[in-house]
Amino acid sequence: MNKCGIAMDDCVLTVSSLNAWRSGRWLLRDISCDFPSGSVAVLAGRNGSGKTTFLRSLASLLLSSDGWRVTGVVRSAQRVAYLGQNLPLNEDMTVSEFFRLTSSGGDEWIQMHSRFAIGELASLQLSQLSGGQWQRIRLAQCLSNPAPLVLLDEPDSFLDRPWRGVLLDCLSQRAARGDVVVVALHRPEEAKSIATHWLGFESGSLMFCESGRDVYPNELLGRLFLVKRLDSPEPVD
Amino acid sequence: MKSVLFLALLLCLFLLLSFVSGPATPFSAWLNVVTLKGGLSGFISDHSSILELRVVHILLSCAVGFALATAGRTMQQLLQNPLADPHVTGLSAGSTSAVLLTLLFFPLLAQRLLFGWLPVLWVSAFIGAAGALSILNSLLFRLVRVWGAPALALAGLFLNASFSALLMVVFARLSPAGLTEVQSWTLGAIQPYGLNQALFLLPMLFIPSFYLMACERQLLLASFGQDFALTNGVNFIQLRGRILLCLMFLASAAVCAAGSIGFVGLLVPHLTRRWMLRCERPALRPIFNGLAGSFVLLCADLLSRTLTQPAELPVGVYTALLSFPFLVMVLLRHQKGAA
Repeated sequence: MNKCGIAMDDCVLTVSSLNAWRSGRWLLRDISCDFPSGSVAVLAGRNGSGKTTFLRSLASLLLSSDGWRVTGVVRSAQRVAYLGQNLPLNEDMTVSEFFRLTSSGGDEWIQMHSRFAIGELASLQLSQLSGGQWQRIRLAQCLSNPAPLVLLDEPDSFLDRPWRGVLLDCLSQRAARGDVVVVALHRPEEAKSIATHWLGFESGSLMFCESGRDVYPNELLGRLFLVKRLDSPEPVD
Repeated sequence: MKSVLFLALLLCLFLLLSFVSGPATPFSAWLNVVTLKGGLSGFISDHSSILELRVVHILLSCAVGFALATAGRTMQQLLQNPLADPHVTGLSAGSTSAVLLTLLFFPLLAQRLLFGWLPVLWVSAFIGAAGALSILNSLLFRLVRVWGAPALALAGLFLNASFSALLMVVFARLSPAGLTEVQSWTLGAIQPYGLNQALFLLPMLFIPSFYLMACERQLLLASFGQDFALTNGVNFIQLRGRILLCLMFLASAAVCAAGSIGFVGLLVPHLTRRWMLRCERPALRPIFNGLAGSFVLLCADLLSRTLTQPAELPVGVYTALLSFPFLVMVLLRHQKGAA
């Protein structure tokens, strides 16, 4: 069941026959894939195809107390850097308080601080931030965590084009350091240059898992988004 | 830092004021002490039982205010809901009903030892709080999906209505004398306990409050959602369990000490939240909040003992009255913030 064709031993992140069930339906069915150190895996799929559930299962966030039934094996790092969607805002804090609360400091943090130009936001109240500013802060917070596995759920939403470029830069830098990056992107085609794995999701199943640099599964992605073109108002291409 | 000190000072002032006013120690007796007629020791021996009652009364009202404000703040943070508070959610009502049912089924206790056999009453209050919390938990789980944030108020409304129906059953079987006493207690009145009972209740009110205050950082992380808390090293499920346990301790002890007092837990955190935004040390915020709770309850208690002398209205009536100007303040501040 080694769909990506890589020897198990090299893999930092291994997923085999992963199933996730909640409220009477399967949100993930029989997902198996492995990622060696230094991979950047891009998840593609229409809304509700299981990308978020997959990322959350990798971060061990599907708790049985919330009604999740998860079977299968996920072998991953103990520590993960995870960026979820729709973080509720605690509006009582300033940006610098948020970082004092969440970050331990260190080189990583200083680098991210300048990368995402946090300094200019530091004195603002969280409630005053725009969507893009808040996304930059969340990214800086998440990426300053030096965990070997980085899971990002639509980190490019709300970001302008220049910041999306900064984001992709940071991700390739992480991969070059040997970390595994798994990312669901709003605009997957922009990650052509840095992706090493392409995973296509449909209705909770893995439709394809293509690996290798410079492999952009144009036709497969097209099929994923266009098969039901009538339902989807915005095909990605 | 300054605001905390200022509030502590104000609290001390009110402690003194509260101590010297009220029907039981007329002001003239205190004048005698001040002018040293008969001396301080003579005064103390004359009034020792009144002194004890008063000291215990003031200590309990401070502790209950502190505990309620802390519990309300923690619930609001944990549930991410501005309406959360032990009174609104029915925790206090659950405890109250359980205590009254215990009194009903053990009438001897009610006649001879009303609130004398405190630990037994506390245990029943604790069971009541636990029952209310577990009903709330299971109700919320379903309701939140349908109704979102207002589900908490809805679940609380339902619980409060059910418990007050239960209380009516108890009321129907009480004698008129017992009825007035029990009714004032259900509205919230600091009970005339002795020192021993206070020594039982005070740790029960303060220790869980301090624990909740120590959870501040984890709660702040949790305020960004469960996933965020879990991936930032907070064991959310464990934290939640511990906090709920503390809340049960606080609600049951507060009910034993003073019945179900409303509005302190709901409004004080809203008042202090914006106030403390400029404070650089986040650790001081829960302390300020607790002190403000003590202060509000002390004010309400002072009013209840002096305004309608010689009769005493339950302190819960005054917290409800005081809550109105505070509510206007909170609303005005929100408006200013929005503009």
